[in-house]
Amino acid sequence: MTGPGLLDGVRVVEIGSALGAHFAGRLLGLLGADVIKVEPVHGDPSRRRGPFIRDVPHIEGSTLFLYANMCKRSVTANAATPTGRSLISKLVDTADAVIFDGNDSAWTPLSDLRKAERGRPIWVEVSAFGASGPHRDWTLSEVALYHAGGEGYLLPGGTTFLAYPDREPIKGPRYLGSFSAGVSIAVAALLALLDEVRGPGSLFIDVSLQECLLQLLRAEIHQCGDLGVVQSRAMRSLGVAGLLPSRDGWLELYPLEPRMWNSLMQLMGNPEWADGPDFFASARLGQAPGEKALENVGMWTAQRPKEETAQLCQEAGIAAGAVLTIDEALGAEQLAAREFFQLLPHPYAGELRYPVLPFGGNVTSAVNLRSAPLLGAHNVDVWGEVAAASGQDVCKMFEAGVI
Amino acid sequence: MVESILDGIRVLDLGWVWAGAVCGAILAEWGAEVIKVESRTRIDPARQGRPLVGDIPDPEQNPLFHNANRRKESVCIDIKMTEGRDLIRKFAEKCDVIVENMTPHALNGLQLGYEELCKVNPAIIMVSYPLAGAGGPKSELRGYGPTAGSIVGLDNLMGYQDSDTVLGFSHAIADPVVGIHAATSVLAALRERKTTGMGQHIDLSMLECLLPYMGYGLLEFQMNGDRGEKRENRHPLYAPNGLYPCIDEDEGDAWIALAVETDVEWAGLCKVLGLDSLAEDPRFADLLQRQRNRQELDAALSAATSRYSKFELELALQAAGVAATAVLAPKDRYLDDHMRFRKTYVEVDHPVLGSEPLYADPIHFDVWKPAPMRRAPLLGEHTDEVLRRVLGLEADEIARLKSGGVLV
Repeated sequence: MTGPGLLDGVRVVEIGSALGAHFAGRLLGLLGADVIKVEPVHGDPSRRRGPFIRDVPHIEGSTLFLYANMCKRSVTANAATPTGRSLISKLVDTADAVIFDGNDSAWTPLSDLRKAERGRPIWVEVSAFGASGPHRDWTLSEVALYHAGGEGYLLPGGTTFLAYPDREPIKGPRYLGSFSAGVSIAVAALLALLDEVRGPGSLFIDVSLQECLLQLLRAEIHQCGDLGVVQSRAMRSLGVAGLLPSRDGWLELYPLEPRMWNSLMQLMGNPEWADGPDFFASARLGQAPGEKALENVGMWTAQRPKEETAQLCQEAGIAAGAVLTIDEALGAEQLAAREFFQLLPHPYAGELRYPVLPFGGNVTSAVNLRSAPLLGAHNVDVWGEVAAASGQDVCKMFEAGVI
Repeated sequence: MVESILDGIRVLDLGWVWAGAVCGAILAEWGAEVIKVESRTRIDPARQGRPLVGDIPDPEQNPLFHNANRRKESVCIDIKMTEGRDLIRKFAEKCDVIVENMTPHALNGLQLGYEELCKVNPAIIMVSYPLAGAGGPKSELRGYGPTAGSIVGLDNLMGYQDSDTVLGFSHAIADPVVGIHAATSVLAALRERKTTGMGQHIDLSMLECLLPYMGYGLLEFQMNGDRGEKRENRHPLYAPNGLYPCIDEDEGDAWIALAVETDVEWAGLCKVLGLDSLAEDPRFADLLQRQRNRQELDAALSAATSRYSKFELELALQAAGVAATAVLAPKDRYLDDHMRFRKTYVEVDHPVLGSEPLYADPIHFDVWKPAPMRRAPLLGEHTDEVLRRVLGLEADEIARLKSGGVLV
């Protein structure tokens, strides 16, 4: 998988500790952009987040960092020194786009770089609640981001909520909130890269992480508008679809269309409880006589292994999937056939399989894949290029704590 | 005069349900003309569901559809009919982008796959995003967003720590996620087309869009065989971290989400909550102590937070530098000054549902404004107009197609 990418020739500079920005940079890197990550002299804070390779704390061993920073180059700079600031300024001048974390106080001295009076770069400023409004200075952690995005209040929902009606809402696993926001940040950069007609002046894009997360639900706000219906975890039911028990785990079954439901009933031997011409419609709305439809289907699925039921349903044209564990997902035949995981070497972490771009085109798409960079691995190349610094100059800057 | 970034780009939207709709919605947001092809012979499930007004099922009452299809025009064509398929080919000739998310056999079987459409328009960019991608042994896998959450392993990590029950998402997060990825692929391909003049077929997999959200867990498993655990709201590092109860009018369902890393933040939290004794308690003296004594810490904090309303506490904690937010229920967004200031949602008039709030885009350019907001189309609302404007069909031809059952 090597060759030109869709963003070949585009340079993106990524500054700051927001994981959403890191994920956006990763996506642009996978698309072929030259993504240069500017790190503090002692490394990005996520380098100090576990779990660590071989359970040894090490600046090059954070799986979080390794994961979110593939296909990038790394330079270091101390923004508090005039020389460090000047280096970054020169780098920014060579960039097509800058992704800047507006909440990261370590880089605050750089925020005026975006005021450069020239056509570039595109400046994508990412912050917790956006660059304007009463909450513009507020901060977020992952848990706060997820729940400020509104999605958390509605999880777990529907059938699964009924098992724990008195418990607190939960969030999506790991850094799902930040990573989701990252894709919207990439969209912002890509939109701007398409724009070639604007006049002089740096194009500034304000992206709020909270608003990115709100994009994930979009519908619920409506129902408390004029109609006075307030969505809750209990209401999130589709009547005929949901998570059901199986003999060896769980199964997600979604016979949302009448033809799928009919096929399912056939598989189940046309049980008497589902008789009647309007049964599906009533079940879909959670009304009698179909209000216990899913419970009844659950008794059927509970007797069988998850993969067997999923396959049986798929063959009958019914949307279904076994709830897989991480190893089962990593071993999936379909993903292997599509070469979605690529084995990449890393000087410290060794060879690991990484998921790559979720799409490919028939013209160009693949890029030179590489694992995350070592801290400051590209100081000589990049500072040499943008600041005409010799190897000796770079060594001096290193000794002086500038890089 | 160019009014928005994608002005002049025409998109044929064959997208289905939520996932299929999101890509076109993002393109429409930035000025693309998006023509959604639908049919009364198979109504989009996103148009269906529990009616909000009255008891009779109505394809015009699903707010999810309205959000994901705003600014689009709706054209009804039965693509199973020969003349319907001819119309799609004519549209392909006049469009820049085609968006679709059906299982691969569907369009190929109707001779409407990329190979066919590319013959009438070599510069066309077509993005196909079925559940498992257009190629591979399981490319015909059927499913909705929640199915994807199960198959990639995310659902298995959802649940309370003290229970074996998997709670899953019961939510279609994969739908917006794949739609946003599809938009990134189209934007990148449009950019490339500017230099090469070449269109292309983008094969995108919903599973592959969602799976990377598993994050470092994928590397962790390879490293030490750890399959991960259900963590509800917890984070292994921060302490305290999670949801704590508040007293609000929500009948016991009001919460504050917070995470504390540094000792300064911890001191700030204790001060806001009036917990001087906790601030000096050696069990919570530093991050490691707080991690070790998480249970006692959570119990003491929950007792304290439950004396406050979530918004009152949010305000005080943010002022003290603690990353805390009220767990936002849908109705809260109407009361949120910040969202009002940023115009996070806009109200449009809908002929069936009346005044209706729609989310705005999270991207704010200083130069560009999104295209003006327009409500989602009624089913087939623009059939005549679009056939006339884009394909140049005369009124009698449209009438003939209608009477022949092609435009239903």
